[in-house]
Amino acid sequence: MSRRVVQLVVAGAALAIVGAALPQTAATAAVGTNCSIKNQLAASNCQAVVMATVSKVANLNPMKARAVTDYQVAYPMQGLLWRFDANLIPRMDLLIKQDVSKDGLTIYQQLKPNLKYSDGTPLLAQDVVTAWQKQVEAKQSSAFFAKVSNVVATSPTTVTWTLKTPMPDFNWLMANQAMYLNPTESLKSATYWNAPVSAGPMMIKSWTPGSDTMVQVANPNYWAKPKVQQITYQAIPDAATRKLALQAGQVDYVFDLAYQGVTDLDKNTIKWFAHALPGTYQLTTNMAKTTSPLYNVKNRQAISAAIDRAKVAKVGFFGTVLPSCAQTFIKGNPYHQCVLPNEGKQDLVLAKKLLAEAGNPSGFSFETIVWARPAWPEAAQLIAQDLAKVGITMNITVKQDTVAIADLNSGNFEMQFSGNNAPTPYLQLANWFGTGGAWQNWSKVNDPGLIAAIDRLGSASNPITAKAALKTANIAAYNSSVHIPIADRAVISGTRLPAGLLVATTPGEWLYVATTPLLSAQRGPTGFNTGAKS
Amino acid sequence: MTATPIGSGVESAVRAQEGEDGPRPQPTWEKVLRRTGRAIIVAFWVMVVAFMLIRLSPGDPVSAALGADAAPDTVAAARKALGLDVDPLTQFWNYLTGLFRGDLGASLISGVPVTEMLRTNMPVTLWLIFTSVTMTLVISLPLAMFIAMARIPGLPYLFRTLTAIGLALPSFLVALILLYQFGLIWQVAPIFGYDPTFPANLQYLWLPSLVNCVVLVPVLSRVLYSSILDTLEEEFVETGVVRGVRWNRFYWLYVLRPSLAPTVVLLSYMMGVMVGSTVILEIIFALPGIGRELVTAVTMRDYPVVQGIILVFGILVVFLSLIGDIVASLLDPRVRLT
Amino acid sequence: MSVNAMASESSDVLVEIRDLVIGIQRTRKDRLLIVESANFDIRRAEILGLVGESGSGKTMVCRSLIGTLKRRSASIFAGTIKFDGMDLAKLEERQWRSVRGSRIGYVPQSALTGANPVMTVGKQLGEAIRRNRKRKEKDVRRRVMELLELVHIRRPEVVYDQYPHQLSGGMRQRVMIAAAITQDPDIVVADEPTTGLDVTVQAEIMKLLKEIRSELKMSVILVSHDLALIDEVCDRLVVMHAGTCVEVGSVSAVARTPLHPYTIALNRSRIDISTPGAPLITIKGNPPAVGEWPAGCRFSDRCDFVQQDCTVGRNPVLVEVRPNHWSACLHAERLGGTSE
Repeated sequence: MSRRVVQLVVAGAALAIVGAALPQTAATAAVGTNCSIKNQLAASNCQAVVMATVSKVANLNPMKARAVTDYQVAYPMQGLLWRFDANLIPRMDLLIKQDVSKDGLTIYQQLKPNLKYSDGTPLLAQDVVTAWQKQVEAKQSSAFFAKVSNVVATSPTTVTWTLKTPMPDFNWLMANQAMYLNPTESLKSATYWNAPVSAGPMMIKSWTPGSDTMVQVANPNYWAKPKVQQITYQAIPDAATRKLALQAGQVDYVFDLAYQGVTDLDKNTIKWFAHALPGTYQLTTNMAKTTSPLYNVKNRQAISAAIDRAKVAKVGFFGTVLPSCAQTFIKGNPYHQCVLPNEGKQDLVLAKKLLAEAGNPSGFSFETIVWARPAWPEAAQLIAQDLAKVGITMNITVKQDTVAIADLNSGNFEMQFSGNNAPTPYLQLANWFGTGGAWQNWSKVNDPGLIAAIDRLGSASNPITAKAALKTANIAAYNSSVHIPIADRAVISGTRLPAGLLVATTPGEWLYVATTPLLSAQRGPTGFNTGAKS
Repeated sequence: MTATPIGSGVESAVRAQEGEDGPRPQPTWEKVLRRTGRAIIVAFWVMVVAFMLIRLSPGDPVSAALGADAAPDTVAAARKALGLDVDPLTQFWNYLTGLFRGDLGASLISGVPVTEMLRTNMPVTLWLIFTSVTMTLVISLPLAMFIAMARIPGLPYLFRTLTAIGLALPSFLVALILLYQFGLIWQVAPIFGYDPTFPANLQYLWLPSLVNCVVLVPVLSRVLYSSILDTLEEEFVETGVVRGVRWNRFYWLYVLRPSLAPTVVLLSYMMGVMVGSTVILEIIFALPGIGRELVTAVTMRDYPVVQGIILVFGILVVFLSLIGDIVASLLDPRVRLT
Repeated sequence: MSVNAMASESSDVLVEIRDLVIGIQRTRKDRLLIVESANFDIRRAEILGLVGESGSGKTMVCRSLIGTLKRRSASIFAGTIKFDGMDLAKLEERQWRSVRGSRIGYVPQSALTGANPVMTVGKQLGEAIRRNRKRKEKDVRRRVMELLELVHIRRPEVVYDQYPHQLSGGMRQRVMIAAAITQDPDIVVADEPTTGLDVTVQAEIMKLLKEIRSELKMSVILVSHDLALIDEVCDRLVVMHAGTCVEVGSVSAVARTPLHPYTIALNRSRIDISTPGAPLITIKGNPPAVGEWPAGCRFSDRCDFVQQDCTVGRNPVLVEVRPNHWSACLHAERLGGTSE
């Protein structure tokens, strides 16, 4: 008798637990805000937003950060002298004034008065010097910093930069993660980057290294007021789950959606967009393999001519990217001009002509390693189909990033399909062809004429000479054709937020948080070297 | 050795005992200790293999961590800082001595100690396995009993067909379908996230566990179903009927318990497999489990994390199988603990 | 009819089985008959042997006595099993509960699989005792010990805590016999209780059954395909062939003066171990498969004495050829005493 009672009680308890759990899940399911792209009034309801990132935050230290998420979360919570606005234009942030000497070799900067970090520590000019020193010590962004001869804090609020050559990209550099400002004393602590302070619009509210979630709140010590008061970054590794979370309203902003299926998002509540990354997909040749048919420039140019870039962009990348017509990226590049023959369109006649000139009219075959990233192998497959039309056989091997990088390091490749990002066209070319550039190192390209052309671009003293120098450098790059450009790079984002609150800026990897007053309302300095048309 | 082959264990054990007269030795602490010792040796070898494999695979943590454009002396400094500048044998010795101090090293990427990662992420994976197994049992036991005993024409056929379909479905697809239906359309489950406290974690775990059930229930209920059919053929069931045993006692002692041993052994094996396979669910449901950490660590060539997690996985799998064997031998004394 | 005469025979009849038909309802119209005509009595405190080759239906008859036909998808289509005013053939599952165990005990076929492998000996026996009467734990244990001693188990206190697979085959079967008699039933049904046991152990089990009968005054139905084994212990024999009782009578009568050619053949096919080198005689042909029975007498295909009228018409029924000795052979009179 009593045993039956016990059984009934146990069964009842089990049912009660299940029953209690279900409505609870329903109640807590909606964690996103009720923002809507259609409801402009909702901006005030969007004080706390949730953003889905592709991975968890691995490291906030800019010397170690390599993942997209690391860039994204760090950018709003780090102090910068200049900061990119939503359109990738650098705007003065913690500076009140920047003057350039006539010869372009000395730059005077004045900080806003009474700057403080989020913990109340004063932000001093010495912190700018420290940021530069750290970069030089770690040999980071060396192509840039090689042109800086010295940085001096002339007073607690003034800094003087002495340059070896004029730097048209100087403000780009200032708005880059290389110049994150942090307290000089605190940086000496080994654990500083577990809880860095902020001189940017946002600051960390809660985060433990290794956790999936980071919460940032508005930094009260920042000079402007951010339009969102809280951002929760939630790692959602799977692209399909990120899409579902956005559709269910559990997140407000999603970075990196899959190409497939974005079109069936509800247009009334969700806006999706492909934003270009300042980079290019390219085929990189290993010039150390002197016996390869790819060693012959005519063969490489034949490949370049045979590729239907428009089709690769439209089919391979779902029309989210622009087909290349020069070595450097197009979108967000103020100096862009087409230089490829026939504006980069497919030209099978030219390809056959080049093959004949190279002495192998019936084509050749070669191996290509493709990085295993979404849509890359498919794009490479389309290229292989194009090449087959002129008798060139491209054999494709898909490899994980790290494995492909190891192959690059060991020189164990004939050609790789990959991508190269850089904040500026100059840096992109320097990285590809300049001495010490990573891709120069891997491809073993050595073209003194091309390097000279890139150097001229790097020290162009005004927009007109910069545009001309980029064209010359891009033509030289085509003549080398060690890296064959395919298309611009892009990432797809989706958002429920009204426009103007929060956006992954054109570089894609930096998250821009709108403030009052807007960064773009700041008056820029007189004279050239904003690096962009202002 | 670690897992009794499904089905054969019972009969062979019976045959081995046939004709013996003395009292049969019960599962003793001695045997458990011996199995534990064996388990530790197996886990050690798993660790050694993991140590070698991750180093033999192409790619290295420094280029993964420092990215594309690091200068050669930066790379050298990083190698030294990470202890990768010495030969692998010395690395192994350093790792081993660290292991005995309870130090599994720290992530080369984030600097978080591996023990800390295990402490925060391992419980998520264990909870996911635990809830999956509980739900699987709650579904499978009555299901298999009912199908085997109801004698409804056509039902076994339907059962076999449905379980075959369940088995054939890839779990990532099931996960996405269920997430779409329960998370987006019905909104009864959160789409992502986790709460480390019990019972709040259950609201995040029930849906991924249900996905596991789609694969586990067919396997388990089919094995249990055929064991029950075998048991029902046995004469002691007849004896039980004639003895007039009450229905609840009858179903438990005469039908289910004599049929459970192969299922329990299979379940412990499946739990071991799940330790590795839950990673796909951890990714899709954005659960901060240890499997996801392992995948990230492998792609980043984060040696200490990979080694640490694989070591713990090895121990876990071996011990799950040990626990499975102990439970099976407690449920069915014909199964001997070896 | 002579079958009716059988009924009025004696007042110490415990169970009366008449015209029992058992089979499987395969579809609504298709019935597969396994037992077509079972007719015999079980008397008080007798050991009744039920012999026949496998497939003769003897196990099905046993199952009908303990009400477990359903588990084999079989059911009783016709006939009666009268027992203490009840008709077991028409008993509901609920009513069976008061009969099984307490009125009719069961010793399973195989010593190997007959005992529940996951329960100790003490638990299995205790379970049967506890069932009807509320008893204290201590009393139950004492009673179990008594029973184990009754079936001559050495060291019962050790065996009490052992699992069946830890016991030898003989001991296991003794335990099963103890389990069958825990509730003092009127009848114990023992279905081939010595399968898989050594010859010496078989003899011991037979001896034990005989003891129990005489000590506890129970009736025992002993099913076997081995005539030699059981005619030592049985009082009367029922011989079954192809779903039919072909001969019923006392052991002495059936063994010495069989009245059915099948019984004669069975007698002949015993291995004569006392005469080394004697030829092994088997019954010719195989027993007819269930559902493929010939017309007329089911044994006609294999019979040495087959006559023309044997292969036509219906299956012959039991006739009391001599007092208390029934045979289903049409020519039983002419067979009388042909066995050696």
